[in-house]
Amino acid sequence: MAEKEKVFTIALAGNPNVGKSTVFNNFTGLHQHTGNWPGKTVESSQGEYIYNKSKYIIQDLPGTYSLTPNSAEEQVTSDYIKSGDYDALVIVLDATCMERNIRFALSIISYVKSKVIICINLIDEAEKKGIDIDAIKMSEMLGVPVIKTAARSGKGTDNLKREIEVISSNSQKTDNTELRDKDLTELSDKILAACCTYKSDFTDRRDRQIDRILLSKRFGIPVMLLMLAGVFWITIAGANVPSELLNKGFRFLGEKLRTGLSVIHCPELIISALIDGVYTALTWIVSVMLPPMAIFFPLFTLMEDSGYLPRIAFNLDTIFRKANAHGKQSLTIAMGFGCNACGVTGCRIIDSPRERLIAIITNSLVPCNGRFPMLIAIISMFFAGTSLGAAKSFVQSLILLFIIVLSVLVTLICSKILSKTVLKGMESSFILELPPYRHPQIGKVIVRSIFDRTIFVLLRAVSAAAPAGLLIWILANIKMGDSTILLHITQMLDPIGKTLGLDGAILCAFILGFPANEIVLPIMLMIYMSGSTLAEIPDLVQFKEILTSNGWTMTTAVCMLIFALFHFPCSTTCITIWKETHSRKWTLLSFLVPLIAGVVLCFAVNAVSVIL
Amino acid sequence: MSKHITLTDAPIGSRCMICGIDDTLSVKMRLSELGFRVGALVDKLYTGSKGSPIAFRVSGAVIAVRCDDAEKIIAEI
Repeated sequence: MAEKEKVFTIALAGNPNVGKSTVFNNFTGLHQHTGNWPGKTVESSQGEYIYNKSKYIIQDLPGTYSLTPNSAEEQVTSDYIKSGDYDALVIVLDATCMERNIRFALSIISYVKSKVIICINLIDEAEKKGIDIDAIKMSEMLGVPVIKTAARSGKGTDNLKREIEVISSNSQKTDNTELRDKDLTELSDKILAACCTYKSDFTDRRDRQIDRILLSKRFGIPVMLLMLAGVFWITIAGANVPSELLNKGFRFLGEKLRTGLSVIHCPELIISALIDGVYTALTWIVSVMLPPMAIFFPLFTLMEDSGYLPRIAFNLDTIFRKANAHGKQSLTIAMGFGCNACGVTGCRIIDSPRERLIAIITNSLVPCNGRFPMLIAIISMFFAGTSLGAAKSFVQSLILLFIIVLSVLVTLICSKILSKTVLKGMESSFILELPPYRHPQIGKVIVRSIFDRTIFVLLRAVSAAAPAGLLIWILANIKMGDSTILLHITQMLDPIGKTLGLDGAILCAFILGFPANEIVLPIMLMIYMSGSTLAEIPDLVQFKEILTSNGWTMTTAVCMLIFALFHFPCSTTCITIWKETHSRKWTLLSFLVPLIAGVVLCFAVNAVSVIL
Repeated sequence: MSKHITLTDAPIGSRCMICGIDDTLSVKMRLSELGFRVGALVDKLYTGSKGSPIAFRVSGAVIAVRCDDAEKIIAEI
């Protein structure tokens, strides 16, 4: 009879940003997102791996500085460690920052008593910085196994797996009870003195030189804006051609599918619903979203992996503080550029519940990746002038940067208003660790950000767009009287739209685009062309002609940009807000705040334009 | 001769030894976990615009805190 597979549960714990998720990914082959900033992991993740015919279920716990929790995710870690519901607990330490890490390890060892393995990670970086660690001596002093690893390259991870196997299978418990009676600070100093040697006093000279520029009062913010403009420029300039190719490919495939369905005698109505409704919505999203995301996400991940993001929070803290918000909100805004739902989840890094709520409610005020193509299209048609090639994409990037700055300004104003009204309270402290700069693993970053982040966001958008495409097709094909339901809705919304410098078609497109912002433009075009299917976007010259022949002016374009920036969050973000806050009130407020901001600004712009 | 000042007042680039932390500091415990303990050596590295936040090197890591909190940490320079 085959031997029954043994199953063990292990957990990874440690300070934030010591490489727990990298160890987790190395073991499981999964792709838990990693980044070089503390607080990246806000949820416990689970994976598994097989080693010597045994199965290991592994928990990647959010980072914590102590067993006295300070935030929701630290509570998760603390509760898990104290529960003892595991066969082995791997405490991951940062080899370049042993002083603080060893104290944390001692506090766990003295509490948990058994099943502890110390993993000294980032040993390659420590060696480069001239830090030498004697793992054998440390193991003797601590009374637990100590393994050195460089999880990014896989160095030492086999030894760690072997040690986990030994500890998990061993029913004997490691007894560290005597540690609890000792002064941990004194003990940690002794261990450090005995086991760690520093060849140089200044192990971070290079980082300090870089910080002198990136954190400088004079250059810090301009450099940040330049970097952001560079990311937008590369995204805009690089996305056009692949987007067009994808569009052509999908159109060709759509025709083949239509022919195929006709050949098998599928009813015309169903063919139209499937191809003109569902297929067109799906392929539009893929062709418009995929290229910019496939460029933007890797670039953003490179910034994240290098350790630059916390520096942004450092530079912007004074500005956010003036708005009674938290400097870390800038990190959640940066996450929101990728996807507002991710930005909302990321707000867990803010400890104060009041400031976290402000960050959640205002996150949708910055445009997510789903709104960028819409913004870029409007900018290209109405504001980038007649310049060509690189010059045009440069002008587009600058305008886009201006829009981003505007969105951050409105975020600050709304944060201030919230903190003076429904979310009154004392400001909390700002404590932020600035991690060492690391060379991003470019190949890995590109592959992982495309396959994990890009495809993840794309699939989510696609899953929202499929039913939306069908609904839009139904509205555009069922007639009430002389015209379709869609046209009736458009006419009904027209007076409101006109007051805001927009029109009924634009408002209708935004409402129907609630599941995913990416489908707003094709719906709008479909209404303008009085079509019964989601429209293929023609080239931008033709597109502009269609818009101007439907009454678009410069004011409409400005108001459209404003409304694209500030309207209600998409359905996925709303659901995420509800999950994070467990409150209908805050979800409703998160829905209303950007909408009110958009309505007020559009109304003001339109009013000024009428007066002038 | 050494003198006592707050970490906010310590000049950039200076190294000081923490000799007292005000009990009214709400984040005393968190800062202690990060290495801001009596006897610890701290290097003041940079300040943000208008003097806050302030970045310190402590326990081998770089930690930024607002000047109001740094004001409550007394150090010997």
